[in-house]
Amino acid sequence: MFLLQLLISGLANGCIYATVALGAVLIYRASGVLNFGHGELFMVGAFFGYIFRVTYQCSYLVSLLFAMILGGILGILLDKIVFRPISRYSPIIIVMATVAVGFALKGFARLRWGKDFYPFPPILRSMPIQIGNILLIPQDIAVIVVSVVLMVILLVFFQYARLGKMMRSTSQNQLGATLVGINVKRIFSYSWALGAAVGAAAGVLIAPITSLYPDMGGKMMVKAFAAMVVGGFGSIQGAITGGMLMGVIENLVGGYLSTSIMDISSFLFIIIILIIKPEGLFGVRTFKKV
Amino acid sequence: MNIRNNYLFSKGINLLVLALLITLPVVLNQYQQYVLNMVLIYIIIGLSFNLLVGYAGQFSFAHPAFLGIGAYSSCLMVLHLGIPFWLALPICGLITAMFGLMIGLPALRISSFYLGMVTVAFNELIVWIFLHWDSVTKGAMGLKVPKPFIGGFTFSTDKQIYCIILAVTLFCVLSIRNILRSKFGRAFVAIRDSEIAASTLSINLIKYKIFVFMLSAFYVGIAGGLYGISVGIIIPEAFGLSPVLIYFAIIIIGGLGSFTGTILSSIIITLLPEFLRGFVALQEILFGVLLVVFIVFLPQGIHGLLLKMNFIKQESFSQE
Repeated sequence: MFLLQLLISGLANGCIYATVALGAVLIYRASGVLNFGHGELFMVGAFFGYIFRVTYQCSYLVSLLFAMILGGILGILLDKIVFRPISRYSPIIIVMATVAVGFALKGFARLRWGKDFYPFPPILRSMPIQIGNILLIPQDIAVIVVSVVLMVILLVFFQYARLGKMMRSTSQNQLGATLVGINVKRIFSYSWALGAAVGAAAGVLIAPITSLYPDMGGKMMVKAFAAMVVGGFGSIQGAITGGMLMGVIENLVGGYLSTSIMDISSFLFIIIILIIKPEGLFGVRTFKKV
Repeated sequence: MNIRNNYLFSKGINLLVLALLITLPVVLNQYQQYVLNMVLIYIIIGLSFNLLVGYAGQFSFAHPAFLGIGAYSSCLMVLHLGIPFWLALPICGLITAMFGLMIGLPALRISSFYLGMVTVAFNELIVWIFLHWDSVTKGAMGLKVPKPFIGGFTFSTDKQIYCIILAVTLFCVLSIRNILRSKFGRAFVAIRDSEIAASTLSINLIKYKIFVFMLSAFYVGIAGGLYGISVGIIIPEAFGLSPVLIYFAIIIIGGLGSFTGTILSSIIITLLPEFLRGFVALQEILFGVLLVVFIVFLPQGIHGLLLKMNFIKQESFSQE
């Protein structure tokens, strides 16, 4: 069945969008910075994975782990060097700083990897599996499995782990968190680390499907934003459902309407949803008090 | 008496700069002339972007798209409707202002990060249209811009085009300066400093916010028209999100809400990458790092630096 086929590959894409969006949401919720350079963290993560997978010949999962660790370290550095000192500035300036960091990262990647496209060895070297009329691509299944495991770990972490609870409470009320003895600044660092690590993981996840190049981040960032907008801002479950929904819708549009409209569906989503319902599709309206 | 406050001195500086701008083409070679044209165009872009961000406190990622709309619409008017360039230029400004209105309307409901997202998406959408509307924009092939002419005289070389660009730039710089000193400029600054306080002072937020978006888009559209004739061929990729970094760098390094600073940094930022021509990676690193360094250590930019050195007067609207 054509529809089911589209749904499955859409879900695989959606898992990646959801993972990228998840990283951005983690940073946004904790520190209040919407990272417009998140696509570049994703790209850098993919190249970290590439170094371990291809240069050092590690296994896929080990390279994923190392990429996440390196991504996390990068996140902490960014927080300490750039975003902590300017945390009191207006959002406009912070946005510009995130863009600047993104471009600098892209520049460093371009310096090293230039204009070429780098193919990443596939996770599973097996032929597509035929079940009935549906062709299952092992790559897609692997992506879905790995990202779902990652999401479950994160959800459990935020629900039950001590640090996860501390992060959640910080994002709800910074002053309150400070009063009960949470080191808010450290929590910000952890959030940046976690967000960047999840972004890097998304990069390694998509690496076997597409090849790597320094400009791969930009389009992905817009798709992650679309996922965040669809899922209502700043909620983890929202980012996951939003990402999946975006992937599926995009594939359906590509399958039934046209592939060129598929390219812009995420832009249209962002524009239409934010204009009609600024709090996001599943979000809750908040009011600003003077 | 302090030399900075001397009326004759500041007028003298202005006249000196004008005389320099008029005589400069005599000594420049063709490449340097092209760079000078770009500097003037970037001054218009920088000022209009600072008008939006530094003075009115609004935000937009869509300025590259506005530049593209200006460039494409002026070129298409000349090509297909036979409108002369001198008339097409203001019209393309107005067309771009209409697109500014399209961004200004959602800006009434959403702000900062959300507006950033919408404008990012808008920019990508416009570039996609440039790329896929083959019958009009010639897609990725790019559109060849006809040389402007008045009467029987065609402006074909860079130096001849410079005359047009210089005249239009002077008009833009002076009119932006006058708008900033008018009721409108003060209203923009009041909105930036506190929307709620501004609205209690009976400043119509809706009117002024939309107006500032349209105004900024208008000037960028005109800069786009000039960009078209100066570059000679316009391609969709030129209007992607990458130039946004340069616009950010111009207004941050110049100083948010600073007129002199923006002009100075437009010059610096346009000249810098010429030394790194062909090294995209190095340009990205340079601008990215420069922007971060200025934001973290010198948030008031060149304007703040010059103030500290007691070189210029405090501008009344610069951001703290």
